[in-house]
Amino acid sequence: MGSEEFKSLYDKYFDSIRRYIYYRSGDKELSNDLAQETFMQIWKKKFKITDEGLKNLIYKIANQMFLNFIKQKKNHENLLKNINFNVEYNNDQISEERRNKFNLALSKLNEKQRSVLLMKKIDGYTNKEIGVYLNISIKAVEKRMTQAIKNLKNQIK
Amino acid sequence: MTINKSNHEVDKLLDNIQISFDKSKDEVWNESFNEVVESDTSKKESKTYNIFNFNSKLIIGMAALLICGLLIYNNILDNEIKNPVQDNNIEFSDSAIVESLFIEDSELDDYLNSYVINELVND
Repeated sequence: MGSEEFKSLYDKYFDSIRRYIYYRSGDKELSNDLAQETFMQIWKKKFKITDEGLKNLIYKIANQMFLNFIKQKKNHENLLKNINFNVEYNNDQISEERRNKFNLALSKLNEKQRSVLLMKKIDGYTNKEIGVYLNISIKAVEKRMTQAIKNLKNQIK
Repeated sequence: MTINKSNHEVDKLLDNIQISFDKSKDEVWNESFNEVVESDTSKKESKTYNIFNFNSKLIIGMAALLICGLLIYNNILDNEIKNPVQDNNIEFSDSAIVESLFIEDSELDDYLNSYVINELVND
């Protein structure tokens, strides 16, 4: 893979990979670091595969990076449970109170449900694409999505 | 009604989510990737240049070896061909050419024929 090819790949996928790690971790700094590390690995390994295959691979590498990071932490289970998911909203009509409540509801979702939901709503991926990137079946994607929306509704009642 | 309302609210909130990071992807590229990628690319180019040099040296070396080999082989072949013929010629010259000086031109053909026959019989 040449430098121009790599730059084009970086421009296409860096933001979505960084967001994906953020969906799981709720930590922007960590997301930035792990996304960088993911692309550094891709550059060093000089993969020669198709663009679509490479996209799957990028998600797999990012996923593995995240899991390795979590395993290194002593209280990794608590780390994933006690996250502070803090996103912005580009609509002034949504009150501060609703924003905070929804952010709290997103934080309380488990990371698998949150990832699937936000990959669909923010990145615009189809269930099939999400299944491929996360290496799970379409049914599992649908199940996680349904549970996520149900939990969010219960939280913001 | 309540379910529809909460559905609508969840959708509205999800549709308006915006996730921003301290650094844009271009800033991250300039800070972390630009130098590494450029450095690796220039290394790769210089490696290619070295490989080219190595190949040209190898080709020149092989050509020199081939020329030396051909010269040596040619020399050996010349020696093998020349030496035995030269020996025979000296013997032939001593006996035949001196005798042929005293033979007239008209009888030269007959002399050579008889000489060749004698040589064949003696061998």
